[in-house]
Amino acid sequence: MRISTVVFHSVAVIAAFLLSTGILQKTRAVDFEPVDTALVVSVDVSNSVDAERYKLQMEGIAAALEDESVIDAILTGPNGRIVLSMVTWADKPKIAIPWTMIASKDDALAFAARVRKQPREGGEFTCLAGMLRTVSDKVVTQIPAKPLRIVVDVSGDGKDNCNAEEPTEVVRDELVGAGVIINGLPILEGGDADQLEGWYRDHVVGGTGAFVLPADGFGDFGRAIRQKFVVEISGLDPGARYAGTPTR
Amino acid sequence: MTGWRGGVQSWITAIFGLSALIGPASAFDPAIDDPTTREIRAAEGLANQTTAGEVTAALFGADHGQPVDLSGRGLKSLDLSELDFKGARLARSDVFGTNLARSNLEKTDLAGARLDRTVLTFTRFAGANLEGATLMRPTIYSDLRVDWREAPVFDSANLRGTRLTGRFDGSSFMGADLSGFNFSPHEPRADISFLPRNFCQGCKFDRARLRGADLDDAGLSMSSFQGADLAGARLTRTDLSRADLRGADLTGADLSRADLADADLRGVVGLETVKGLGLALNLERAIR
Repeated sequence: MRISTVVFHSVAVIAAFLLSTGILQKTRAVDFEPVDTALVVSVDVSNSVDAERYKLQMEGIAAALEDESVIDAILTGPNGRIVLSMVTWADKPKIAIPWTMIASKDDALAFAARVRKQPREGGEFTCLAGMLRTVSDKVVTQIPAKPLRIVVDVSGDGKDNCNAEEPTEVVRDELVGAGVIINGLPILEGGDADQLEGWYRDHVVGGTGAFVLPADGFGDFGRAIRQKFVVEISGLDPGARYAGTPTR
Repeated sequence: MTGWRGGVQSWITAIFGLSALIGPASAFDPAIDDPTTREIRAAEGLANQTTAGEVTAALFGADHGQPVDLSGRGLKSLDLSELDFKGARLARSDVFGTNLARSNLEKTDLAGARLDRTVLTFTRFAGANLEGATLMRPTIYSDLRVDWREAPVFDSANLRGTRLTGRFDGSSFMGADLSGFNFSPHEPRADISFLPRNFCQGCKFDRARLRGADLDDAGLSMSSFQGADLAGARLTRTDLSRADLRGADLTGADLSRADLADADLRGVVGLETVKGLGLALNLERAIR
């Protein structure tokens, strides 16, 4: 089934539910603009991410948004625009930058500037399941656009160590069931480096065409996130570009 | 829009299963709407529990002129922080244990709602209708520094007959209607026969209506009651030290054993009718 079809059906079913239960008496007419992708960039800022590593991640995301190949991917899609948001997470998730329309090079550069200015607000734990729950409940539910696809881009250097009330894969499956694609960018540095790619594959990524694109340490994060953005925004088949990166 | 619990399959199940099973919100019977009954209903799993995703999506799609109706719904233990409720109807809803930090609940209808154990850091209730609601032991501050600036705002809200317990230091109730408001440690329910002292130090009650309120044993030092209506209020054992009561109406209020150290009583109306003034502590230190 095409992703856009899944998204359409999901929206219709949810609207029917809200109306049937009386939660939604009346809603405003849907007047959102169509976009190619609604992309959530979620970034691990837990204890293992010190100030230098945090800066490498933020700089990597910002530089990727300034990259001509990424901007081209945004502007040459069917609708020529995307919506973008950024979530940082450690003990608790934080919607660091809410949904923002990117419809021009200037928009992309302005978002990059906001990424660079984000203050570091870390925490001790790597609560990935909690982050996905917030993305499911608070972020994906408030997309101010009609996207052809919804992508959650998860990057981090460790497994969930939060003893969450619900396992990571349960929330992952809920998102996937609603047509969301979750891609992973495990940063292979530190204690979990040997198993992290496999753990992301088993517990984090999901959805049509989902893929894992590891970074070989924090120093390689910028390269990896740039490649990942191009694939996610353009909707290219990641298998063709990144042979050997497994998908669910 | 999407990203919903259980995915499409679950939604279909929800529509044809859950909603038929538990019925619409209007099925809630106000005749049996007392706190004890609500707790029993919740404990038995009969409450119409709604997920955070459903609430967020409903609010996102709503306009201020057409508020979302969540009356009588189960909203327990959810993360509903940083949401704009856009004047939603939440009457008789069960919001026990839910995180409402930084949420905008201004002009919402929360009459009869159970807001016990909620997180209310920076929560805005201005103009809301909380008549008959309970707010027992909420979490007000983000950490143990107890920064009063984080306290919730209830300005111009309707809090008639509400029951509050816990620590609300720094909260603002300016212009609110708190008639019959209960902030005492006496709990009539059999399972909670005694509660510790309640605090609202440094709170703002200016121009508020507190007629007949029960503030027995409350810690209200440094609070401001300028022009407030405290007629007939029970202020027995209340700590009013350094409180600003200028221009307040204390007609018929009971101040037995209240602490009035450095309280500003200038311009108080009906001081001659106050009960137990001779029994008040530190009356000689009050500013008159």
